[in-house]
Amino acid sequence: MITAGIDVGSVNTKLVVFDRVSQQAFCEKVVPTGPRPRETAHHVLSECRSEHKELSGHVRGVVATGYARHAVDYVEGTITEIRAAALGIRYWHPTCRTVIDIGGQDSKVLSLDESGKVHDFVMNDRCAAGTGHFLSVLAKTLSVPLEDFGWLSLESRRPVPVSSLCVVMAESEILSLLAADTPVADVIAGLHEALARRVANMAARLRVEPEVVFTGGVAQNPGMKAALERALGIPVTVARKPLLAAALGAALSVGETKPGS
Amino acid sequence: MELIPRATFEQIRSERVEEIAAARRQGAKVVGYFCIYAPVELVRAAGAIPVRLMRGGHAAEEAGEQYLRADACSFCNACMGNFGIDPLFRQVDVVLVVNTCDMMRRLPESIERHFGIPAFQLYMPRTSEPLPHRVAEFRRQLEYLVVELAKLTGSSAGDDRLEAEIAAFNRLRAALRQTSDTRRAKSSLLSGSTMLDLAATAWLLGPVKAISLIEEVLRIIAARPRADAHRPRLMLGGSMLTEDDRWLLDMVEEKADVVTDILCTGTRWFAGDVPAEGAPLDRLAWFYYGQPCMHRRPNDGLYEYARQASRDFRVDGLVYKTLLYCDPYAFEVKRLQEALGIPVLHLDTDYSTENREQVRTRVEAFLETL
Repeated sequence: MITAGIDVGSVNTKLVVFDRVSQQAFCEKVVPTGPRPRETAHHVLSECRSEHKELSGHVRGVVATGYARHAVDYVEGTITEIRAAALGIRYWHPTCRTVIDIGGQDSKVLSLDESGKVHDFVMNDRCAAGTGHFLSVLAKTLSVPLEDFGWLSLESRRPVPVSSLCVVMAESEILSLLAADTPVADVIAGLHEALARRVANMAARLRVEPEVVFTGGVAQNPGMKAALERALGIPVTVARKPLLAAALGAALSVGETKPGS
Repeated sequence: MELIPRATFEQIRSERVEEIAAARRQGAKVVGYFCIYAPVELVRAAGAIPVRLMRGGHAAEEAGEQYLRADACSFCNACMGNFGIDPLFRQVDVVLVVNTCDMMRRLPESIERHFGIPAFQLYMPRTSEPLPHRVAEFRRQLEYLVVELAKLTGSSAGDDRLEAEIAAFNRLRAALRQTSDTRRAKSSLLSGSTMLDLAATAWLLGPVKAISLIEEVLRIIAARPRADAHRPRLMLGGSMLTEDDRWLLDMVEEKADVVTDILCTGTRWFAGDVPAEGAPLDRLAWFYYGQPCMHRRPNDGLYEYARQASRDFRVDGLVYKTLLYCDPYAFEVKRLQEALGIPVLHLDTDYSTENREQVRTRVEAFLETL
């Protein structure tokens, strides 16, 4: 059975067209969401349609997720990115009991029961503190490409303590550190540790049980995985395709959601 | 479909505010109060008009920040703002404040300083143990209030007048209880949003007019067929919810039914009656002293209230909304979750609109887990 999931996130819009029988993905797309999520979502869907004419009439349904899920028309239904991440991650990582999802706009920790159902979750509430946005703004402040940010943090021998998780305040804290000639790698490592501590504190409100799987855009950052392992004190597995887990979960939920929900 | 359109309630309330303004021009005095500890019977018996000042709102909160700190409780900030902009708040001659949390304790000072509105401030003992000497302390506060109200209106409340008001408010509480209890049924026709409107309107109209409105709602409920129930049944809790929090109720009620609450702005206001035996002031003192609130110690009474409501209304989950910096309520979330043994969604927000979509994701994800 071929189904599709579209995850309209704050940074990227992701599409997965997946066949549950052959366990094969026919189409995987990641494009920047930009200022018009509705248009981006429709553009991604129609691009996929024209690239994969062979799928015409075979796709059983599309489910949308992500912060702009309600903006996507012509879908079978919507699910939250929390349930979508749980479904997608469990499909790839069947023994996962804790999901850490750090995206562009929010971070969340999900506690799953044995069957994979979301038992409880915590989510940061309002600002960009402790999210991917935090790292991308500070990468700019430090003039380091975001792709190198995680690797550089791993080079540090003496991470400096950074106390601010507010993007604006962290920027001024960093400027003082740079003025004091602190090595850039140590500052970057300090930022990773601060973010990891914040997520670990959030996770502590739930029961953190192994296997812990790390997903969302920030899971592509190897420095963050290492910092999370130190903060949590247990090994963390990076999701097979961190950007696509929620879109896959949405595709897997087709047929389960109530029409119009 | 709503039993009575929201606009009708709003119309009734705005007409009543005009009526109050007109009465005030004829010399009537208006006493604004905030919480369930305010003995409204005494206010009416003295011939004044009691109005519950239960509004929040982002514009009011922002306006309030010029008087209080930005990190003061959102409700108190909004109160200060509303004294400048809300038509009902502007009719208030005196505020009646009961010492509950630290912020409410200090609020009257700011109201007097910035708006020149004096306050009757009652001291409610922090202990909730039914100790006669503590209740007597609160009773003395009521005696003080009777004297102050007489000075305000120039007419003192005789026992007959007070008995009549006690009976009238007991009838109002019973009518609201009866309405709320229709939600015990398998499928509820009364939304949490309509219940919010009913309470807000009742505080404004006074017992007689409010009861006839409530009876109308009960007639509509009785006449309407019930649909099959399959939606999650939710209880609301946390700090006060006002008309300005309706967006949250609307969001929740897209996919679930709010069937009860443990709010001071909801069922707790009408949960009990002033007892029938004894001298009027004694009865009022025992009644108000016995109202549970998170700020009292011990506050197990509110926990028992929550457990009972959760059982009686067969609740699947609790949506617990605290206002930013409302510590007495925010501190209790974990314990409440353990005590009730049902899933709890805790939302902590001020009156701004910036994180509504994040709240929506949390509400929907919470409903998915039920």
